[in-house]
Amino acid sequence: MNSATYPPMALARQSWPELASVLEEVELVLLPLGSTEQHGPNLGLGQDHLISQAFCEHAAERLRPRLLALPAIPWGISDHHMDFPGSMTLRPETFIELLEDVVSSMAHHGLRRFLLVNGHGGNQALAAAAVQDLGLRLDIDFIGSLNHFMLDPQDVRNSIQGNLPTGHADEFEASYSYYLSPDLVRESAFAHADLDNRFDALRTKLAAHKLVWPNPAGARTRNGALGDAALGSHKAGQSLIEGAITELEEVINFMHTWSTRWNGPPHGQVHRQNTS
Amino acid sequence: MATLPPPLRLTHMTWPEVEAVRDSVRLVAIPLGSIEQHGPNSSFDTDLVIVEDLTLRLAQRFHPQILVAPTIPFGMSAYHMGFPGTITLRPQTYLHVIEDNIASLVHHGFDSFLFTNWHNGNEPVMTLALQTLPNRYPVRFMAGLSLYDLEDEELEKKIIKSDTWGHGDELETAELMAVRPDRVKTGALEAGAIRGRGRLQRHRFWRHIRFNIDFSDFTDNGAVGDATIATIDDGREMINVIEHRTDALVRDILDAPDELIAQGRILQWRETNSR
Repeated sequence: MNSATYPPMALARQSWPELASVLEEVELVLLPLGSTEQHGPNLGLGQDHLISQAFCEHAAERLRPRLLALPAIPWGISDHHMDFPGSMTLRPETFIELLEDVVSSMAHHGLRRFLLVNGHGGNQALAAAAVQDLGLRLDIDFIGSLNHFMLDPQDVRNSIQGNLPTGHADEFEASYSYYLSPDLVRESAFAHADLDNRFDALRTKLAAHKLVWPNPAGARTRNGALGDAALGSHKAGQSLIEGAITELEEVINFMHTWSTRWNGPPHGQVHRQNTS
Repeated sequence: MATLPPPLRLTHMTWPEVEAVRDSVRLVAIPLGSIEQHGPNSSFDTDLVIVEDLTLRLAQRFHPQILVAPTIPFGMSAYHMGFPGTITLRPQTYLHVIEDNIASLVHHGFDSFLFTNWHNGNEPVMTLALQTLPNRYPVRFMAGLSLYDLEDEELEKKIIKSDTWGHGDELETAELMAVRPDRVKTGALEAGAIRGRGRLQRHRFWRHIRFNIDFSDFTDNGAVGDATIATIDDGREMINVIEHRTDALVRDILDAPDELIAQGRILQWRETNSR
């Protein structure tokens, strides 16, 4: 690798003098969130955090030197997968304190802006709570969260999506892994969702009433998978991931101008009064 | 209109009364409120009194199948801290308060719970509680409902005249007028004093990203929307829709086959594993 693309923009792969040399140029720190949980017979247990980490490292290289990728937090909120062997879950209080310590450490080194890049649907509430709470209490300027899979180009998603309900160990997740971490793919064991239609109907009916009712993964699908992993491919993965990174760049550029906190205080009127 | 029986409201009952209804109660409702600024337009306990009132009336309509637990008054209101008086809990604290309420009620033999919520900032912690507590306690059913999610979109379009809305506005103030008019600061009502670009609300990235902000960054008086045009009739109409839709939901929960409700419960894997 030549010096123009060095050091890697992933903290764990840098030495401290390398980090010190890019610190001034980094505008946003990416913290990958995911899980260690069953992904049916289709994909390895580390799927969510390994993919969000690879996504962040990939994005940080493409947009260098604007982004710095931190190591992923390997565990998430996965209570709903615990009836399948190997899944691990954090209590929310553990998770949020872990986030606080990681962000505080980086803030100590002078970094002011953070983005939680999440790859696991079960972490969304935790990430939203953390953004509210840490944004208030820590001495940082910006903290945000998004799901990398929400950044996927919709046309690519439409082109590979099958007829089964998706959302876990499906054609999209298989595609991410074909592209970013093929060692997680168990192609010969691929199985589509083994849906319990009676339960799914009740779930759909109550969700239409806006009820929030988290269920165990196994209640809906007996093999732990949704969708159809066999519809995924390396080519689709490349289009999804590269398209999502393009969208990520747009979101970051937009936050530059939109967020009232991107450039630090002073913020709103009352804050101005309090700090004058 | 037929007179409804009084609600089963735990704070207003005696212990023999609670014991007497233990077998008839099929759902314990736990209202989630907030103590946060609503501009000059209404009191800090706006969310609290709306959710409490709607939940008590729900319990009246489903008497004696719903018991109303004490309202949890404080919520997550970090983004209102720019205005004096707002109180916010850390997510850990909030979760522990919810957990201890559940633990106490489970101890007394209740096993089915519905959180009712009227504050957007509470949704993450409510969801976290639903994702994790059924794993720690012998719970049969636990779910949550943000009652404003049942507002009718067409009616909302008719009532809301502001470009940017969502807090202490013409809709929320109208709903409060219908529920607890004493909390509306009639005579002091103001439209939101929006500064800069206001809220993200209509941008395509609205669904993409959450980020830290304080309401004082974009509204000088804390309101977003125009409470001066709120009317009690609009409020009554919307509350009526919410109540009808809540009833339909609760009927579907109570009518659902037992085995499917059990199937939908997060498994108590710790118990399973220690067997």
